[in-house]
Amino acid sequence: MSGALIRILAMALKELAVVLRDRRVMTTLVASPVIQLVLFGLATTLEVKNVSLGVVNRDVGVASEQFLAAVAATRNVGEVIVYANEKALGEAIEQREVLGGLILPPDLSTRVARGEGGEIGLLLDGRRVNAAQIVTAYISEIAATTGMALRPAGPTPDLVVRNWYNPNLDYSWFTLPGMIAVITTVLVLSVSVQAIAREREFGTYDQLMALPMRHWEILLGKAVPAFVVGLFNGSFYVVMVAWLSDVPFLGSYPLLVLAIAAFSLAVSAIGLAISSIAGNQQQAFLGGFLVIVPMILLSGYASPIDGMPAWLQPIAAVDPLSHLLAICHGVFLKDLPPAVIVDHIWPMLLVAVVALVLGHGLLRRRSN
Amino acid sequence: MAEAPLLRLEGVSKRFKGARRRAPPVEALRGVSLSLAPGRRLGLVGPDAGGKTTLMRILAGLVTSDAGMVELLGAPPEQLDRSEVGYMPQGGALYGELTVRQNLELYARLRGVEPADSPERMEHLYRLTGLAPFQDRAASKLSGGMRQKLAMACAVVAAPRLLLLDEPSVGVDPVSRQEIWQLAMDLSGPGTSLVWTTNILEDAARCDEIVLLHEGEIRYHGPPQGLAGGAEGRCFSRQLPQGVRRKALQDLLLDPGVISGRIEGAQLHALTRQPRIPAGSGWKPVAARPDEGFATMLDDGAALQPSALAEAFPLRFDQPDQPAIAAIGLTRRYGDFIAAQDISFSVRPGEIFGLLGPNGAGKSTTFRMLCGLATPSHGRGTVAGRDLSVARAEARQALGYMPQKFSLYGDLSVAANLRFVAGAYGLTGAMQKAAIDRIIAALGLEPFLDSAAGLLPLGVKQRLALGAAVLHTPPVLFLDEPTSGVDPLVRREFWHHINAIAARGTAVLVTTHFMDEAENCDRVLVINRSQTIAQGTPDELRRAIPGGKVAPSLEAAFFSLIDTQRRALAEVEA
Repeated sequence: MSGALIRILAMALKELAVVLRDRRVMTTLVASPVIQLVLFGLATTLEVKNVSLGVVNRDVGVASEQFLAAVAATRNVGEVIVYANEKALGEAIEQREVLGGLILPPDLSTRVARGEGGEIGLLLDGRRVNAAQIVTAYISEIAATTGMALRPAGPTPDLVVRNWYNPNLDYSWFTLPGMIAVITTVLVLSVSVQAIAREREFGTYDQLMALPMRHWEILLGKAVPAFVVGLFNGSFYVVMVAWLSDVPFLGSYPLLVLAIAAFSLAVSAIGLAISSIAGNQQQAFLGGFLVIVPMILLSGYASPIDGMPAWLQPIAAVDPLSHLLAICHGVFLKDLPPAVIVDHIWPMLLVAVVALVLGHGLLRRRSN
Repeated sequence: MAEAPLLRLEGVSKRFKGARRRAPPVEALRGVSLSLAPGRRLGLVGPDAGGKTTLMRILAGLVTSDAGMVELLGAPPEQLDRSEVGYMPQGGALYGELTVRQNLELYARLRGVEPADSPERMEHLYRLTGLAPFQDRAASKLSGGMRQKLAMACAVVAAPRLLLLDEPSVGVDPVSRQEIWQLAMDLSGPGTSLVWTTNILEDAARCDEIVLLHEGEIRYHGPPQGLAGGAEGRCFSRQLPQGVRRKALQDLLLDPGVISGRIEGAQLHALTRQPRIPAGSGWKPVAARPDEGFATMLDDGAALQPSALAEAFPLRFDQPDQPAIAAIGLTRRYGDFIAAQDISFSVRPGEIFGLLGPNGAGKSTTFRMLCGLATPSHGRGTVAGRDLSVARAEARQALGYMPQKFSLYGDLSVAANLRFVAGAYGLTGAMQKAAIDRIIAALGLEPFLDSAAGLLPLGVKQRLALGAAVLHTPPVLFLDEPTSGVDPLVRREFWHHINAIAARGTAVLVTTHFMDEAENCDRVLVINRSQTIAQGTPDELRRAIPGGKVAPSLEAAFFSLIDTQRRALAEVEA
């Protein structure tokens, strides 16, 4: 065995022992991710269920009757409360009694019957922008269906919506594979970001510097525990989600594990680069926080990358999390072809190399 | 007794859970009875893990005893008014990021003194500690001596009736040690009682009474001079033969009838187990010192064996004239501040070279430049013929480094630490195992193998650190205050190993604050205010003082040399 390999191995074993010896760390690494996976998987849904809506109905015809019946019947709307006028409705929105209100004009049924098409007013609470948008979509759909049914004559246009890969638009099919990637990010970063900062804080850094270890040997050795944690936990979550939830698993498990490996390497390298400049564990933790929030925001987990400004999209493209997310969703919900997976893996490896080179430079500069 | 005692302990015991599961509990204190009258100063001495710190924590009301009676300031511990007790824990309890002023004012408020209401008290503290010019400096940027003074000022800010100082002079140079003692005297009022724990008998001997705590029991309580009584009739000295100083000491220590020995000037001193002259000729009986009484009481009767640690070192006398360590005009600047200026010296194979100087003088900076931990601004250093600026990793492979502060991994076991260091030096498989087994056997680490290194007693920590530094039997050994804070018997054991390792042809560079350790060096360099002020054998240093006289001791020479430089610099400035 070459000298460098022996030294890297010694460092890796020592780092693993440090991580594994601490019982609290073990709890953080094993128990809490499982709890998080379950909690987040259930809680971070963007569906709107059981909202209350208000109604000011000035129409007495069949159109309003059918429309309101359709609204009340959907599982997204819980209660429909009738208000006498717009002012009362406005106060109800102000008091957050209802998310929004429908205003049905007196001539609604007449106009629909004449085939002119009716107009319905929808007032929404802009403070709850996400829910408001989603409710808008629901209401538009109901209005369209109701209008279609009430058209006096003529063939109804044949519009059939089919959602590929997730036919019932079940939200957990999107969140659960995504959670695997997000929780792996948090774990790998929190392990790697402490690695060098801990040595500085505990005063062991001097002894380390007096040993015949090169900076890159230190970095590689220290990357091992975070890498192992990411690879092990990530692969384990995939099994858990595929086995315990009803999310289908259609792709290749080995390829997904390979992607998780590349991802863990990239995030470990980012964590080590932060750790190289941190003076103590607190700074390292804050530095990790500074990176993890944009990483998740830019990954497409919370909001689609296509919706971001054009200048932001290239930054999202170097976010390793965006690539793992794409692979995770692809491997779970459809059998993502290997070539596409490879296209997502090499940018992660590139990030790993760049971050390691950067970390090496920072470590060298700080030790002089 | 005219006055009620400030402290009264009767039959106090305390045990702690064993470090390992199923390990027997540790009996930190066993039936300790003690009382201290107002205005008395008590020196608390004893070996590492002897129970000193536990006793201090009981006196401070921080730990409750398992059995026995404790009375602090005339009341049970739970009724103790903590502002009446000034407790300075080991190493102080300063906030490194806060400035001197912020630390002092924080502790003042915590003890119920509003700094703005008592400016004269604060002024008084700044003046006595000499910290007035450094009020805005972060505590972590102070030198060791100044830090201890600040910690002490924080402990006494509310003028307590009882002052508890746990190892206030550990790791501090002789000049600062005197100042710290003086500071404690100045800060304590006439009715203030003082408890001072230390491993340095000279400090303890300045107290009114000494308590020696060993294995949780009081082995001696009485006046300092009485401690020396135990060694009376067993102390001898003789003229050292020229040129073989260390060899003579080494031979003496291997004599089974000898507890310890030391070199002082041209004399070799011996302390024997029986009141009998040691082997050899020319021995004369001399008066015993308190530290010799201390050593007699700690003695476990086991004779020192030839150092197994050294036997693994290859003999390295093939190039006796090539320097193993060379410093060539080493200079280090931090901004405007020059930490070390134009330091040059060289160490031959087999030579022990001592770096002496007050805290903050530039000793550590010089040391760090030679181990590759700091890059020189000018000049260069070589280790075992390798230039540190171009072949840093190769140079590091050739050196063993024992830092001043324990720097191994506290969470990891002793065995895991040794495996890591061995791997870092490129040792694997059978070679690694052999090296580790050798260290464990030679340093008696077997009982601690599975213990977390951070929880070990100081003396064992230091042994582990020494073991880690010599795992790969390097040609060059760097020891930064290797014996700071350890008891006399551990110190004896350490120097026994160091001498034996040097005798194999290993070059040793050592920093120390103990003058008897400096006497054990072949040559010594004294640094003060970033500059070399003297270099030579201990004997040459004693003759280097101005006025053509010979200093009576190395310590006197040290003080005189520093004072001479101070006056010369003052003249230049004037």
